[in-house]
Amino acid sequence: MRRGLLLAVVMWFPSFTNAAAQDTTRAVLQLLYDNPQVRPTLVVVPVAGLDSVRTIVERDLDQSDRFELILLPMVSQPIEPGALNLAPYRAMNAELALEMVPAGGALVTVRLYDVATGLIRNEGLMAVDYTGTGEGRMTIHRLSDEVVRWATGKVGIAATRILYVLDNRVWLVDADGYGPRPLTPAGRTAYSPAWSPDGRRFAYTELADGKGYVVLQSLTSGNRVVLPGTEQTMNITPSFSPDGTHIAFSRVMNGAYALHKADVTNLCCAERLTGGRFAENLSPTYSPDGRRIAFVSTRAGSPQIYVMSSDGTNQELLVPFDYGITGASFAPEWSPDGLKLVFHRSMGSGFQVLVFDITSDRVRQVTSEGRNEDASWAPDGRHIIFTSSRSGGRQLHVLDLETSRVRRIPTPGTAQLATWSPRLSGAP
Amino acid sequence: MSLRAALFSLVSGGLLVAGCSKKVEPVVTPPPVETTTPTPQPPPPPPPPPSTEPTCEQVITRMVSELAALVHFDTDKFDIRPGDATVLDGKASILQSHPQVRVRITGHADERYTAEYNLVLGTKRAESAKSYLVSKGVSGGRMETASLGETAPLDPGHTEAAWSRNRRAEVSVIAGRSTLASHLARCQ
Repeated sequence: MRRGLLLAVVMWFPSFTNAAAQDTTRAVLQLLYDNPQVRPTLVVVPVAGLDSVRTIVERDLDQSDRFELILLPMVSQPIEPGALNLAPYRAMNAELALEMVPAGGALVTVRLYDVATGLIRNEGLMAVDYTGTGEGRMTIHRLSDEVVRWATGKVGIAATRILYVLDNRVWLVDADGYGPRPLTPAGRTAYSPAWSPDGRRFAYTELADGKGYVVLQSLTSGNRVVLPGTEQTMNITPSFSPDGTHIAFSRVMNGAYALHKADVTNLCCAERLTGGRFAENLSPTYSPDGRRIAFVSTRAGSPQIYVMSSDGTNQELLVPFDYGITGASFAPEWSPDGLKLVFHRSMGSGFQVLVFDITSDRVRQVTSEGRNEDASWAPDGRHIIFTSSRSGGRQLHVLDLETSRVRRIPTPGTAQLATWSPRLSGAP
Repeated sequence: MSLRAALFSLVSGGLLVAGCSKKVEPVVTPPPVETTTPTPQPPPPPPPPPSTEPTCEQVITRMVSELAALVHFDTDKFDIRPGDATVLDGKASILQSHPQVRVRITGHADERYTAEYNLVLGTKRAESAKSYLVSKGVSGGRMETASLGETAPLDPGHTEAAWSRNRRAEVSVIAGRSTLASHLARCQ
């Protein structure tokens, strides 16, 4: 239906003069692309010598869920001099064509065409690692994200990574499922990884010796340091402030979990944020502006989602619930635009992931198949990763909230507690 | 008079003899007490009767395992069930009669509840067991609590039976283990 509408719009324009048609078409297409429900068809032009790059870019663009990919065979053609002949792609009903031409060394000229008009929408020179292995893949993912930005004006998520827990260790994997590897030592129980906002380190809880330590680990050097003030008792569910200066976490005080925050920059001075001996407070998540912290509390009996100023004042209920009816709610994470929170709740069908819209004060259930929990936002604010039992065991799944497309992130065993990185600008 | 006191007086006598002969050249022979005096030898410790009386180490091991007897919980609950109260009563009496023993109570959860809250549930179960022991007269200062949530299942299965085994509190001795047989005079 939507496809038909778009084609009808495009076919209607030849009645205009050529130049006017091109401008108007472009404007209308841009309008349509801004509607996330409309996914333009896109083809990546085969070019000799760039097959491995093309494969990765095609997958990135597909996994952005913003395009309908037209996949061509791997038989790459020699580059023809002069302008790209778009006729074959027009015949395939491609609306966008992406051309990548080797430009010497590691450089690639990247062009995005509006196929209908033949206009180059965007063009740029980018450095990529042709081998597409290891860290070099990130250069290709950044190219993909730039194409997403050209076509939609939105942030791509190809150049991102995911931390998760498998066999009581924290693992790292690229957002396309490439290269899963453990980061924390074997034989020590690691839990609840949390990214630093710059993507260069992460915090997690290590359960050992009857304690729960908050540990900071560098992704560049692998160095680990225990957050001072967390050497005693249980310290769980760490979370960075958006400016990276503080970590909020939950600590056992007098037999109950209370929220604290510690200064990461100076590695000192844990400060208590919530009181009360008879309620549990855990799973803090900062709003993107750093001014508020949402968290789970049992102060009304059942665990539910509350919010406070980041200095601990103005504590109040955030996600409404019916006392005695609404199921326990857990693991909130504030969306990148600050307008929503994702969390999971005990429902008749087990745990399900819900999105709370702060503006409308409403919740929307976004999963239903199997048991689904511990969701985390991608930096584009439309994808979430979560633990799901839908394919048996605990596996990581990605859901696009706009199209409802789901894909699984392959992991070498049952995995949980995934957390999506911010956009990774350089090598970690 | 104890055997030790008798030995002491004999040794003192020997020193006294040595003191009297202090103008003489130093004697290099061994002290007469040990060589010449017919000392009543302390009776060798009787060999432990093989089956009736356990060794001190065996007593300690039995105490440790009684302290380690698991306390179980209902799903998403942390109150002490009547049957498990009996298990804790056994621990309370051991702890009361061995005041130098310190323990850690670690709470665990099954995999069915949600991961991070299971750490809380584990802590609540450990605290619940601790409170019960305090109510039985054990000083709270001798007990620390911890939680491993669902990270250390006893039974890796995904059945109701496995889950009920995994919802538990474990008591382990962290100090004073060697005093666990001190209620027996022979093990003091």
